[in-house]
Amino acid sequence: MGTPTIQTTNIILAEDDTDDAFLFNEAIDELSLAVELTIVSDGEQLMERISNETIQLPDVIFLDINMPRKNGLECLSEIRVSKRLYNLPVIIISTSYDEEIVNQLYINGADYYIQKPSVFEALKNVIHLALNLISEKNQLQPPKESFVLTDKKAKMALR
Amino acid sequence: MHPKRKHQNTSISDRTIIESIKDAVIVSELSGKIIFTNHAAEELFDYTSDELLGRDIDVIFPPGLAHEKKKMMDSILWGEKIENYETERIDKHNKAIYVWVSLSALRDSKGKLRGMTKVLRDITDKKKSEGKFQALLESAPDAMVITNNFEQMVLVNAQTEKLFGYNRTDLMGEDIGKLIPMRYEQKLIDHCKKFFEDSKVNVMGVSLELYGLKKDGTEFPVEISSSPLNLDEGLFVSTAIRDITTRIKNEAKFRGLLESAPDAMVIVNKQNTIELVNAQTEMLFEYQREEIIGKQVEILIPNRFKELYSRHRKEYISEPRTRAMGVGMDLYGIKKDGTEFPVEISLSPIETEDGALVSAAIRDISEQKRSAIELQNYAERLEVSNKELKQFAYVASHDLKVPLRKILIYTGRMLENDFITEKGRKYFQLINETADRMQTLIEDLLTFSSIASTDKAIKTSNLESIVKEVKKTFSEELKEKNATIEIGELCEADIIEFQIRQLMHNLISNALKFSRSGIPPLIRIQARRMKGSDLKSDKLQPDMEYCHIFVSDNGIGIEDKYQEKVFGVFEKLHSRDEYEGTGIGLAIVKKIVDNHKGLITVRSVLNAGTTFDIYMPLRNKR
Repeated sequence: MGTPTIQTTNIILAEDDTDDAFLFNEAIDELSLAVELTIVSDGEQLMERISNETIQLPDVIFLDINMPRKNGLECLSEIRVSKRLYNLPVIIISTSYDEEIVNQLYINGADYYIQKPSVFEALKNVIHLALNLISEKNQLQPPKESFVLTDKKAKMALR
Repeated sequence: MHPKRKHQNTSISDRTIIESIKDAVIVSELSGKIIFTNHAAEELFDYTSDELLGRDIDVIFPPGLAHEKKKMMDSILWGEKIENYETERIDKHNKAIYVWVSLSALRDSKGKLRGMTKVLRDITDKKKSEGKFQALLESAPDAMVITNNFEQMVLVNAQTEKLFGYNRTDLMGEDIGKLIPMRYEQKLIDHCKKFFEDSKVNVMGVSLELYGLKKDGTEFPVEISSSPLNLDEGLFVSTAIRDITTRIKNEAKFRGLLESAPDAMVIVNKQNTIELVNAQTEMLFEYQREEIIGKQVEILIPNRFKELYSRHRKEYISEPRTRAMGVGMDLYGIKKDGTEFPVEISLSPIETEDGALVSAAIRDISEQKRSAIELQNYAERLEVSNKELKQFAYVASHDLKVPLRKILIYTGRMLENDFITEKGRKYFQLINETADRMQTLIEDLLTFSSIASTDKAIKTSNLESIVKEVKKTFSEELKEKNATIEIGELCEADIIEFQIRQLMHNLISNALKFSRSGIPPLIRIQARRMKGSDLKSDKLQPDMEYCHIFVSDNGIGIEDKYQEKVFGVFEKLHSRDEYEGTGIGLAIVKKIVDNHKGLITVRSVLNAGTTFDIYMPLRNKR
């Protein structure tokens, strides 16, 4: 074809909670970005999908921590040791905030960390910020100070 | 009058013979004038012949013995026979010489009395040793009595006089039985007789319960030891009599002490034999004391401890001091019927006249052991319970907060859009606010319940940096309310950092919340070291050091009657309309202070301000 197509960002969301999955979808919709969203509901499904060489790799994975069968931490470790997958941007999106767990995720190579906000607007903002940062296509893991994405940071960056 | 004796050898003169006599010979006229001395006399009195001849015999008399001279003279004059006797003379240097004197009358060929002949024998040495002997006797701490083979007292010392209340003259020649109550006399006599059959020192005493009898009739317990005394004059018995009233009293006291001791007391000698036990021992081990006295102490110990015990005993003998046996070990005693029971043993050395003994205090610790086991069980159950609580807190943290968050998002969504009517929005608003409050409540409750179960240790920290960090988190609110936080001098404190951060956060949050309208809030935070005794309160230990933190504000204050209440969980002094809050903020603060084993108090004046005083114990003396 000759017509240039808009670059769609391919997102996989690994999330077992149906509400959170629904909200994420709503947020993406409202952001009106060129995004293709796939949702898997546990770690096993995620690894199956991205290990399937017939399917195109996503541009970014949004990863929940607490999932049945295989949790987010395990997935992250597997991704980072895989020759094929290690470069995949992974953004943790989690219910809680525990200093030690956040540290552990940073050490294990996650790119960013988002604590699920309780305000919808904030959810949109952080997802937007995260996608912007990923699109900058930095090869290196960001510094620790920039690891955690908050609504506040998002508001400032998106102004 | 004897005829002139004939000599065998006429070449030896009488003079020579007299000169050869070892004893001093002095002849004096009736007037007393010395007319003859032999060589021995010169030697004895250290005069030359010339110095003595012609002088009065007084010269060798010590001043006090003038009467003796007169008596001698009288006896000579009256023709009495004078018995040889011992007396004192002085030499040229006025030194006393003890002599044995033999006097005889000097008559001329017609038989007329012309003077006196004295033969003097130096007995100073004998007297010295007699004197020494006498001195020894006198200096003896015990009553010393010397008896002859008829049990008659021939010599006693001053102690005898003192002890029995007699004058020695009363006792001389008396039967030694005079010093003993009638009923013991035979015993004593038999004892003395033994010496003449088998002379060896032996002790007759306490075990035979001998008593002494004073002049006034009172009796007292004594210990007697006798030994043979071989003198020129014959075989005598020297007996030492010791008043053992005090010793008997002390022994009785000791026994009394032993009997009254709450623990079983077992006294063991060097041969590991039980010498003495008390009633408690009988009760505890269920033996009659006769059954175990004389036996090896091991009969009270179960077999498996016998080796430990003998090892410990060897150590103990080499280094005897009061200490516990088998510290940190489970020791057991064994009763007569074979039942075992847990014990604690502490050993101490006892010095007695019979040698070193070991006193073992044995305590039945069955009760303590039972309590210790119960305590252990309780601690374990508590541990389990704590773990469960922690788990619960964690679960609540996620499983309760998750649906809450969603409620908030959904209600929030409703409010963002034009889905519903004004009225509808109002209700969703209320739902949203309620859910929000619930979220804060859960978080506060979780914080509250997790305070005591944290794994974080207490560390010495710089309060200044913590307070400054917390202050930063309020920077927006401070700007909004035109509030100031003055941070004064802050000393170091021994704290769990994240908890103190929470504490500061809550206190500052309160101070800002409960400010007076129209008046810019001013919060002061200071911390200084002080001693427990500085605060006139029995809640602090006087010799402990504390870090006194105070957080004060100029807000609405707290009425006196509520000042205690404010630290209660869910205690609020205002309705929700007036001031938002879960009512747990200060409860969390107090729990944090309690967790540090500190103290928090509040002082306040309504509409003026409030000050929170926190006292955190400092671990190390600086």
